[in-house]
Amino acid sequence: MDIWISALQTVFQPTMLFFILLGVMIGTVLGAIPGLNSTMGTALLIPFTFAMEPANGLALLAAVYCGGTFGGSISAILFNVPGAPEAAATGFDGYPMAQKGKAGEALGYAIMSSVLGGLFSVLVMTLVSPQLAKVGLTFSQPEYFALAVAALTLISSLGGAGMGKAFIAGLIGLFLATIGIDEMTAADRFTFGTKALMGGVNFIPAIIGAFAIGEILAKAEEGKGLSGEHLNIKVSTKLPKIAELLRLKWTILRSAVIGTAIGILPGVGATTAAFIGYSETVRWSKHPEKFGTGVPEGISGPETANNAATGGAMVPLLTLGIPGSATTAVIIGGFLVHGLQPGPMLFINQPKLMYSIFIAMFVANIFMLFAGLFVAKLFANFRKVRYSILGPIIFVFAAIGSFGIRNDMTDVWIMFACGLLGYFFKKFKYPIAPMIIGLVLGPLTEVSLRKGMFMTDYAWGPFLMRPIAGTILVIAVGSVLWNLYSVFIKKGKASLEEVE
Amino acid sequence: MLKGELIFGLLILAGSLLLFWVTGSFQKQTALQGAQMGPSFWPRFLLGGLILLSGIISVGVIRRIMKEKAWGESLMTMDPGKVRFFAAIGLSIAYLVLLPVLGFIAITPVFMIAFMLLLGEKSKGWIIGVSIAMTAIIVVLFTKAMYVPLPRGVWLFREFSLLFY
Repeated sequence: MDIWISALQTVFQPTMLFFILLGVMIGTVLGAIPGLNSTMGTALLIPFTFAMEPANGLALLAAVYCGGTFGGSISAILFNVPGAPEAAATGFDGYPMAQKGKAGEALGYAIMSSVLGGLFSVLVMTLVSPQLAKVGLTFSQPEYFALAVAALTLISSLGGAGMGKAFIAGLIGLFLATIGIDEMTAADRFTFGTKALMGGVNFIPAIIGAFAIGEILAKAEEGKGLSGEHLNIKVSTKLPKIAELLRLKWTILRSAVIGTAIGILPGVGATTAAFIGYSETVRWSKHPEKFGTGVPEGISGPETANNAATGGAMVPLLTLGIPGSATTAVIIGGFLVHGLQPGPMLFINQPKLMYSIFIAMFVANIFMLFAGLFVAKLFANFRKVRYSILGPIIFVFAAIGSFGIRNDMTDVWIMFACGLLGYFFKKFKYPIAPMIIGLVLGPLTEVSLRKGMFMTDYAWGPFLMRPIAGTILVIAVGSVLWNLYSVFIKKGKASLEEVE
Repeated sequence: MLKGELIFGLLILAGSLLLFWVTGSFQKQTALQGAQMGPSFWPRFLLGGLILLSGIISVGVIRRIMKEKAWGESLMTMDPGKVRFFAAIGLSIAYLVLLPVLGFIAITPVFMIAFMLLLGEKSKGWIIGVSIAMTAIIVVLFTKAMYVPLPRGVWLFREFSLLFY
């Protein structure tokens, strides 16, 4: 108890509170700009933390991480350009809601869900860190495969009556993820001698292209809304009322648990958490057909999950010294510059520091509410700009954001090619979201399947009959069959009505 | 529209067939000969699914075309929207080709001005102001604040870019 009181005194110093607020602001702004992200922000800030007290420095880095994970959703909602990959799923319903003139509400749902998801995961991290880290480490390839399949089954819910097109889009995404050097055998797949493709198709340019460039080309062709119409739009962030939040309680709670659990797993970060959060929200909804049209659950589901993953990812970092995501891997550097080695010994040697980080992350999530409102307001002003000006700005940010990933023009061309694909998908009514889901989850699905089957000597029984993996797979397959059944029932009813 | 959808479906089908054929060369490159799930296993599974589904979708579209007697619809009618669409693609390709040659700072304002004019923007002040201001903001934010490099171009353009970043 004394440790907690001492940690509280450390965090509630004006200097510490200032660094937490600064970190959240920096993270949110970086997250909202395509091409910049919280990983980059934490990496750049590490040298500055060297001169600070370890607790202040680490709180600053953790705050950047929290803010950055939320920030991406601002541009995803307002412009359909996810500032960070973990925000891509938020745009599925956030952007349609903004297009209906409810950008303020969409931002409000995103901010509140992020804060609640973040607070939940920090609470879990504080209470049961060591125990959770041990459970996370028992996950093996079959469990990862089952998780990926469960998230992929979302595709069957996204297509509505056009399920065939949704599956085609999903398969194209999964296929794009196979391009490059095969991780297990080093075989060169579909690169056609292009060195730049050997590293694979990075999903960030693909996401930016499919959503942003597809939209710009479609708007250029339509010619609607290019001038004038947007000038009178008022975008002010509206936080959801208590009653509205209570309506979303199960979505938020489910996604918070999913996000925290996924965050704990090493190598599976906030992006996967967001997609699985979205997938499960659709699966448990009574109206799955409404997703993609701008429903609050479609924003809350992924947004709660991706921020819950931040706390989750800190669990293996602090308890075992294993990073749960790219940003936490960078944060290890923050510990090392102060001569600290994250891991179980840190709880014994530096308990006050550990508990200060827990409390700092809690405070960071509360500050995110204010930082989110401020940054969202700042970016929302761009939505008032007419599309004939905004379109070229988005294009340039999309190009430079893609170039910045590996300093390679190939990523920019991938972005443009995916933009063309996104345009034709839109034109011929193929949903884009399944392609992105396939691209994000493709490597995890393939590698966990092949490695897992290798482990079980290519026997399906031992691969599928593990308790956790088996349960997840049964639920996933069951939901696909239910969706197929629902679609056929609806089609049957429709044709019956036609006959009558 | 239906004919366009059919062509898109058939392109997916043809592309999948071609790529399925390409997977035949993967096994030769790997040291793990005889492995049951080699490098071609997963892509073949996906491409097989694509071939099957795009075939079914294409047959469905053909049936709709026959039902609606839409074989006569023309694909090549050029309205102002299509002209703007193709011009936007041309302009974008030109920008992406010239970006590594002329560098970000030299080509971006020109591209933005051309794109804004193409999308029908009329205010000269906005066109010039936004294109110069956005280029400057991106240069400062990416190269000075975040140390993310931007394309510098070659020859004289590289020297010009080096004056700024």
